[in-house]
Amino acid sequence: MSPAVMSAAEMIAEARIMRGTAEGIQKAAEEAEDAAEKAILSPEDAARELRVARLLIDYCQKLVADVGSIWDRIRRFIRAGELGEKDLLTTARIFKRFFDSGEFAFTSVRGLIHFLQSHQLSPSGVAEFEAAASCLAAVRDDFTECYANLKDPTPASTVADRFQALASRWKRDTRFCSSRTKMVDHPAYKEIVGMGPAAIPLLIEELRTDPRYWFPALHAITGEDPVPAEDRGSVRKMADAWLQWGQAHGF
Amino acid sequence: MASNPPPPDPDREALFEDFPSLRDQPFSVTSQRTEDYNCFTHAVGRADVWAWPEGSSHWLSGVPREDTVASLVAGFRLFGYEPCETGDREPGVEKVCVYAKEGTPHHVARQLPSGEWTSKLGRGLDITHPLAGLAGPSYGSPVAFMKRSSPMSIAAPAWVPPLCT
Repeated sequence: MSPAVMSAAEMIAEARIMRGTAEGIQKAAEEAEDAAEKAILSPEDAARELRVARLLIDYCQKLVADVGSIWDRIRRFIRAGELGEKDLLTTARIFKRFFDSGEFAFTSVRGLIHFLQSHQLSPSGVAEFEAAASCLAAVRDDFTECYANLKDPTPASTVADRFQALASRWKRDTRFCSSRTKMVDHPAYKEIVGMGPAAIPLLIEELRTDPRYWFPALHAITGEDPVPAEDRGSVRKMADAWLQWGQAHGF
Repeated sequence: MASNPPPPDPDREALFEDFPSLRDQPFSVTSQRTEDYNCFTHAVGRADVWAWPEGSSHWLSGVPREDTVASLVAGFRLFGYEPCETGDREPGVEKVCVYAKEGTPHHVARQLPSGEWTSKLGRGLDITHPLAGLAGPSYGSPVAFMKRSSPMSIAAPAWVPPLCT
């Protein structure tokens, strides 16, 4: 079955496996470091430890790629309100444990690398490992934020209804406005920005069906600006740039 | 048998909501709704740029990006307009005017040879209207008039893209 059509239960199962992988990496790295500390580091010992370190670095990178992908898909299920309460709790529990294990795993691998470096044996791929560690931290932050929202979830239909009411009010009140600054300064616009990430898919859908000046709102919420400088000013071109951004980010 | 009255045109009804003076004034709609341009670019004859003295719109090189009547007047100067006293029709002269409310500009319009005015209404339609037709709670009232000889050949001023999205 392709990942695009995986069910929530299958994704949760995949997350469970990743949690196991993280725990395995942690254990292997700790054992490798222990073994290395006990060894005299003969050329044979050194070669073995370097191979282990390289292997663990590869696993760490793969783990982060997998968890990034699976979390992205699960998050979409969560935001669409398609996970039942039981699945939500299971997901939250698995990911919480996964990030704990993942953090320990990376700490352990980093310990092994530092040990080898202190013996002037730098394993290859250290930069990639650190990049993977940063990615893991970013996914963990995203999870933490999403998890906080899970504890006080707002039904998706309520969010959409509130958004539509605010968007309609903004469109009506600013329809004859010539200043974009005044458009963005409207209370309904500010309230939509205040809805945070929950408004992103709704804003993207608005751009798809009825492009308006929603770009400052998207920028304020996401911190990103995918519009090339040469396309600034044209609502249609700016909408296209944000639609591409939305597609790339799973909206 | 008397025929039923035509249903209200939603575009006209929307105009009456924001510009109640139009109910008692002759006006005509001259375009579809579009967000490709706004009142300033409509006044200076462009239909592909949204321009206003602010960071998020195109604006004119050398003119402050300040949401003031003075910036709009300075912008019109680049097109050969000079301040004048009234919006009365003068043969051989083109005029523009700035509508403002509590000192803040909200709209500009250009006079047609007939003496009527043409306006692009925000993201909405273009209309032809009397000057007083747009005066009211949305745009305020005309506070500055400018004129130039018609026809006038003048080099197009440089537009600067928005500084931000």
